[in-house]
Amino acid sequence: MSLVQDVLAVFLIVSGLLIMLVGSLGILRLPDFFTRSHAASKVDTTGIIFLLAGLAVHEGLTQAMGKLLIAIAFIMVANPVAIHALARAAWNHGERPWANGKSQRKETR
Amino acid sequence: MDTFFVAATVALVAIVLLPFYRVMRGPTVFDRLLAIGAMGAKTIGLVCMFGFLYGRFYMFADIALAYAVLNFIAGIAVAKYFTRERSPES
Amino acid sequence: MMSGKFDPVHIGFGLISVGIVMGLQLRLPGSRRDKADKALLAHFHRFPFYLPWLAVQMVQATWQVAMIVLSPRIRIDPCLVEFTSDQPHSVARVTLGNSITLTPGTLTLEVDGDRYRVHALTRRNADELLEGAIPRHVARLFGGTGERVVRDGRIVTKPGEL
Repeated sequence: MSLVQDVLAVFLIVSGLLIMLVGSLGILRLPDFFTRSHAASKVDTTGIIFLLAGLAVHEGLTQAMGKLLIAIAFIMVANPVAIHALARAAWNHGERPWANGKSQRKETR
Repeated sequence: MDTFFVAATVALVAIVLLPFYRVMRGPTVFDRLLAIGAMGAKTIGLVCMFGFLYGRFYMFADIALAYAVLNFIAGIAVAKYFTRERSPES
Repeated sequence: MMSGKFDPVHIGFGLISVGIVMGLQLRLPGSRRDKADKALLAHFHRFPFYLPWLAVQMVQATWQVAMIVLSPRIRIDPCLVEFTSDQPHSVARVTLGNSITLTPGTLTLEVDGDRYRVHALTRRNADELLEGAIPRHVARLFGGTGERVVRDGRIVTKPGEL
């Protein structure tokens, strides 16, 4: 039982770390704001859920596990909403998507 | 298992620091804000890992929950602030 | 409840703070209860069927973005999608926006009434979105029939046309 628990926890934590690494690289590599927010919203949410699920498996059936599950549910709702709000603000501010190799926005840094 | 947690925490710190490049020299303000939001979201996981390292997970789970709420509210507030001063006919 | 202490003092403090927060919240404009609450409770039993679908979608989305990010040459074709989807109430609209963000290749930009504006990462994601699988799942979650949930869809590839 305990060995299965540990193996599952290690697997979930490592895959969560890898997914978050992909999210960070996506924020660095993708060409414009909207594609970057794709990376930040989906990949990071999934990564954090995997990591916290791994910690919950390692913790076992205690009260802290309940708190972790509440945190997972909250992050699953809140992270996309926050990024949607940011993308909406960017859209209303006049940011425009990158299309076919050139940015539509004037390069004003 | 403790060694594994130390290694995972070090890796997570490195992952959290990666988007800092985007914060420093993102082309637009929104890139910086997005990177800060992503860093904050990853910090929730980092707080939980620290809780395991210190062996007082009960306390750190509360801190992680509070940090999640705070990060969310900060993101919404900043987005509201930028929506308020929208450019006309955009 | 969450601190693990159940003596009367802690329960009393908890009840007092919950009462203060609810009193403040009822004074906010727009927070009066409408029929969405009842509808939400009426269809709560469908939620366990919705959640695994969303989890599968999230893993697929992560895989797709990971393939795009890790490939040496970034191959994307971003475009915008606008469509109208009839949902019964505001909670369903919020759920739909959130689900669009979490499913592969799509990101909700703006919700204006029933009109959605979505940024898609590739052209194929945009086509899949207009086929309407996501709004159908959400409509089924909230007890709709799943018929004709997507109308007036169009795909914009050149940002100048907006």
